[in-house]
Amino acid sequence: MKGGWTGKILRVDLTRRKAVVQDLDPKVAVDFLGGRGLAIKTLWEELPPGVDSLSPENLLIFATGPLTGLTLPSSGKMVIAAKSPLTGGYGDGNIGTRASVQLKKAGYDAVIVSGKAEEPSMIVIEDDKVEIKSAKDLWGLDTYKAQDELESQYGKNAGILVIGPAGENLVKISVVTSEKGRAGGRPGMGAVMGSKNLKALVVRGTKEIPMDNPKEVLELGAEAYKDVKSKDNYDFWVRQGTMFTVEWANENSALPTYNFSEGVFDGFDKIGGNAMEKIYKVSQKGCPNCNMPCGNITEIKEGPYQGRRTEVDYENIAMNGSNLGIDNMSWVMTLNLFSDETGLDAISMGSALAFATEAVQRGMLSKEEVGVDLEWGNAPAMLELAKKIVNKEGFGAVLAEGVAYAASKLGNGAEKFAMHVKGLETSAYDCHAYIGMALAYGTSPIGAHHKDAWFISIEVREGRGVASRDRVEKLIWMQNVRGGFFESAVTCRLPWIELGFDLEWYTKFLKAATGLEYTWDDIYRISNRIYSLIRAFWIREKGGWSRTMDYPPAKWFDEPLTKGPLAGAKLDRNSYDKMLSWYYELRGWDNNGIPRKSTLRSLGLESVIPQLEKVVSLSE
Amino acid sequence: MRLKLLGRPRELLGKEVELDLGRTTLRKVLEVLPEEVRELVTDGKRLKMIVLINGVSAESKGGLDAEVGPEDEITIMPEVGGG
Repeated sequence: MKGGWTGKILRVDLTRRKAVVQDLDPKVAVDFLGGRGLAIKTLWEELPPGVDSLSPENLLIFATGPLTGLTLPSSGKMVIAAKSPLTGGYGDGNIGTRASVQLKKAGYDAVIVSGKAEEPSMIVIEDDKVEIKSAKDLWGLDTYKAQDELESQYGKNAGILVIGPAGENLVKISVVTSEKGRAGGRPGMGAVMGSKNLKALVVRGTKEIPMDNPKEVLELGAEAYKDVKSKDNYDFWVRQGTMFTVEWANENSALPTYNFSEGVFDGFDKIGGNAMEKIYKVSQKGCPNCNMPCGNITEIKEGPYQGRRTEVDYENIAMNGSNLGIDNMSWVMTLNLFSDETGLDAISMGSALAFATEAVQRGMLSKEEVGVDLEWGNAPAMLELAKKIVNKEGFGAVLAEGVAYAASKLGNGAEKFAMHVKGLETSAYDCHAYIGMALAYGTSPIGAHHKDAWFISIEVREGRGVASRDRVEKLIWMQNVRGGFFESAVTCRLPWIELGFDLEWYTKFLKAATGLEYTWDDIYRISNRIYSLIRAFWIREKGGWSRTMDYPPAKWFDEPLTKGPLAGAKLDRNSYDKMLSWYYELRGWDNNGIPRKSTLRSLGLESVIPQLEKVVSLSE
Repeated sequence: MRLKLLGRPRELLGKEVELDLGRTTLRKVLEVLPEEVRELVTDGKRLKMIVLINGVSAESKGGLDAEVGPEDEITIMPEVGGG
């Protein structure tokens, strides 16, 4: 391997307190790139089928890719993956963190953690020196205090990943965090880390990241950074980041409101990008190697956290603002800060609180059972319930398992308003009017998250409610670029999707870094391989598959929007089903969403066939 | 006609603008806007932002040549990538 990859993987067994360094198989690198690709390849091959996600047998993978850490736009990302305790299937998330760059500089493409430490521990990597240290003093600290403590020990430039009380308490909607406000791993990666008694991973590296043509990387990088800055939307983006999407989504009836019952919210402008920028924003923060920083640091003006600062973005604000009926920005920011500090996933937290509120509203749950005065817009009550989730107290313990579980616990048709796909709570886009986006959620390989495909712009620009094969082709292309390439390369997709940075840059980056001439067709093939292998993993873990597992929440089909310009809009089951059939066909999967043998063979995944055949019969 | 603006165009022109241009084309409407706004919305050949005419995409109505009249509402908004 000439560069891009370091060629080394660090394996840490917490049970045996051993760390070993392995070579990265060059064929795996070429065929799967890294990040998500490396994670699914590892989980498929090494995880015994049916393993309990919170048992020592689960593997927790921190993976970079061939572009991570290079001086190229927005390359400071890593993927955190494992079998998900929330969904029981494949789970991952990406995170912008110094740890990504430091890991590459320490000489590793990935760290794969197995086993369970006897006592609260942390892994400390300093180049070739790897230690498993006690973290008894850190256990119980929130993520901000733990970050401060570790920075005081290892320096401000150390790469630090920590979990909060939510992960420690095995709350299934918990994430891994970094640098006070960055979070990744929505499908319960925080709980997987907690189940291993692993409070933190600290990494410092001093080596040069190997590159096939360092001069070319440097020159391309300089040109590319300049290009990013020249984009029309650059200045506006840096001022508002994703927060502008509040206004945009409201205008297009896609802003989740009252547990995704509506797509417009009366108080949208109080929690949107303009209000954020003019009233609350105090500074800016970005990931390593990024010159289009999107982190809006804001100051809370009132409430219990008055005067404290929190980093806000669209998803968190929409899910804990309009989706809970809260139009007081300081309180929305308070909920955001609470989720970041405790290591709760802000998106799933908003969904869980909204689910409980709707259950109360529908008379399926009493306020006494919940233990707080739960009503739309009652932010202090929401905060109290969020605390109960972190501490697994009363009904909070039910919500800590995710809304799918909470719905099954409540029964009486509560599933109809549990907003999730495959057990992962829906992120912040209402899809009553957006069948393409609904399919993106339905077929996302981790459950209802938007990182693999975000289709609403296309539907606004080219017409809503169109269920065509052409749209499905576009959706798959988008998944292959966002979820296949960016999650495996591993670098941030935002220069491309938010500023229009040309995709052609990335094949040049890969060539300069690795010496390999990838074409986009090569990359799509890698993406197809990754998607089919992730699907195989889900089927293996679930013991089968059915089309309904790729369906979006029932509410979008059954309860139309009642407000805004698109009042009356809802999804049509026949149209969705038609699109799902095209999706399967185009991915080379059978009519039940199971990869065909011919597809697996054509993607170099023959070895998957015998294992899958133990669970389902495969079509040719 | 009423122009409704989001994002950077809104910062430059305000939330809403009333224009009295009679029946015309989208191209002509954009021509009367300040250069800084116009250049964000179009390069003269195609639309660089999303433009809706009464909630329906201008691209499906002929793009820059789409017809607009006094009763129409034109919404101009940047493309968003969805994070």
